[in-house]
Amino acid sequence: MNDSFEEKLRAMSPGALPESLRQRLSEPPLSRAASNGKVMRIAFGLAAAACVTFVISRFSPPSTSLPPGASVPSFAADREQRVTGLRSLAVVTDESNQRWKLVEVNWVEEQTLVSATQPLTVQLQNHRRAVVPVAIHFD
Amino acid sequence: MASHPNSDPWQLWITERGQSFLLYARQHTRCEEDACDVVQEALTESWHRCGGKIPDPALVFATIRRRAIDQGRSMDSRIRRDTRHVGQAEVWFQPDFSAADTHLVVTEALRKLPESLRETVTLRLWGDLSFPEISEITRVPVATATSRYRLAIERLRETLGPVFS
Repeated sequence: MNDSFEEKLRAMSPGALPESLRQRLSEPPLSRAASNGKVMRIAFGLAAAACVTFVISRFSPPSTSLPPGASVPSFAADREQRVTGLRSLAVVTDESNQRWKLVEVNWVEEQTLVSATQPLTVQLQNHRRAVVPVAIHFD
Repeated sequence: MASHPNSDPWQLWITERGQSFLLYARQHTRCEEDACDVVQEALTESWHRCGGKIPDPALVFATIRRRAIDQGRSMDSRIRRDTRHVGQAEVWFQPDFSAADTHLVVTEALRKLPESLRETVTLRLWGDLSFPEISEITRVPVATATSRYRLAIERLRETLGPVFS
């Protein structure tokens, strides 16, 4: 049975929530289905963009912007894309209180041309990067 | 932004319970930012575990405890611990201006309790949890939770008795 001392302690109100936390908790968390749908849409978009980029870079014909009268060169050529690094940048909260990790993706596009008669290879590398949001879930 | 259909019950629940969640989180984390992060993460996790409904407070307290322990082990938290003075500046209770510095005295008396006693008395008095619920969260027998609470009250009475008399 509680005595008056315990009741006096219980009557003390814990400190108020800071305004920043109050705002973060102003809405209930998104339902998992809704947030998963959002992630799926973003993931699908990114995957589609990556596929399109890959297909274009892999199968596009060589440049035809040659000087007039020049013959079209014929090389053994190869184009390749590979991811070279992932780096976590920050965790941010969107308007629906969903937390996202922003990840920097670095990749390199390589174009290789091989001489048919000489032991000579020319390789061009384009280093690229992009920031990709990844949803954070608490399971 | 469109209002969520459960906004009002959620807001009422946060208003009613949020302070005790944060009080508990503050006692298990090393700075105010960590406490706020742990509360938000624990509420989100508990909400999902309850299928998008307002969770049982005992589940939230248990989740806060586990997440605070996990966070304390992380590298980020260690870095922050090294660069910040821990948990001294927060106000654990609302000031009662009619009672001068009572809230500061109570905060200090709680800080001086061993962690196991402080945790038990916090969950009981300001978390409104039963002893079986407390024993499950703190992973001790119910009898131990009860005796810890009694011991904590006695120690607080020795320190705070004159303040409340």
